[in-house]
Amino acid sequence: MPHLQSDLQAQYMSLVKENAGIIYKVIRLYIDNTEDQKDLYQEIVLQAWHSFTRFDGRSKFSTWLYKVSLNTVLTFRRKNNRLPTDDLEKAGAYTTPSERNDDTEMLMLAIKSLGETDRAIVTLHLDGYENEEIAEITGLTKNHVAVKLHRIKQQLTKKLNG
Amino acid sequence: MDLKKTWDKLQQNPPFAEGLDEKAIWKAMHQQSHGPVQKIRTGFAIKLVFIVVFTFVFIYIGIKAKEPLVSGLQFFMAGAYFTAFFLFLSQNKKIKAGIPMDESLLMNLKNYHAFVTKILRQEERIALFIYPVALTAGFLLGFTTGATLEEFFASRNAIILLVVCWIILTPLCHVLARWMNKVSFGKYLSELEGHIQELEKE
Repeated sequence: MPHLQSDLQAQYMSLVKENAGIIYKVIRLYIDNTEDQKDLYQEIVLQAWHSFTRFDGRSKFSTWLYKVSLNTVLTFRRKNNRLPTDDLEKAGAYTTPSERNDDTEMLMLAIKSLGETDRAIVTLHLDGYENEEIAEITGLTKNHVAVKLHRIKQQLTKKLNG
Repeated sequence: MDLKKTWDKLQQNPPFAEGLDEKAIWKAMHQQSHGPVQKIRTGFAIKLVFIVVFTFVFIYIGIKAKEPLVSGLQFFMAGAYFTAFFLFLSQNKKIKAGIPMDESLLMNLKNYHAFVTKILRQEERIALFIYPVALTAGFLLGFTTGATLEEFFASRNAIILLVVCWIILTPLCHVLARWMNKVSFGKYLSELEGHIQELEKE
């Protein structure tokens, strides 16, 4: 039994190591404070480990881990980390285009000003996930994802170009 | 701006690299959670410890009491606590299981919140019937240290005093129990409620 447990642990650790980028990505989307980010990283690793025995391999591990990360962040974050739209407008108004590192920074700010589910939907899409996988992770229907995605892209384009 | 290209550029630098370390992963797997669910679990575990301790206290007093009626009331209290222990133990399994993070979050958050609230309300309501018995047990225990039970039943004032204690202390204990549950669990339940509301807004 201890042998099986250590095999499972080793398998889990290797999978988490391979997919650590997913955890970082989700944390960065919702949490700004570095200390909170570290705490959340540990919490996600712990929560995913507790759920790992239920992972049946029907979906990809990365999809499963994304879902666990997202759910953990939404349950364990200390306060609402959604940026008010004002912040994005201020960031745009007080920096010249050359100072914006800045497309990346602007994109992050724009994404962070979206609603919680919308943030997840657009970043999953940008990461190359299919609508079906996005639906599985967010708990929405495939059609709802498509409609939301269309609206979010319009919102982002308007924010970034306007 | 090409959203995809900009997004890919953003992914090149992880915010904190030490998390990649296997040692850090192993440590994270074996730490204790700091979220509201864990706080609720701890709160229920503390309740269980109190139930066990008080069961033994009632049994001890029941054995030591000289009057059979006083002993009987103490044993009744021990029995009530003993039953509560098993009820709590069965509910504690669901509390301990927490919220599965790989399933539908909103639904599970709602179910968990509703379950914890239901247990607390149930406990408060059942306790309402226990307080008068506990008050009588305590009152008679105190009374019989200086007098006999016959003297108690013969004293009109003592009986009136006991009834007054029931009338005043039963609702007071109920309010106190609700306040204690609010202090122990209210903050974390509100936190979960906040998350539910935010997810429902989306």
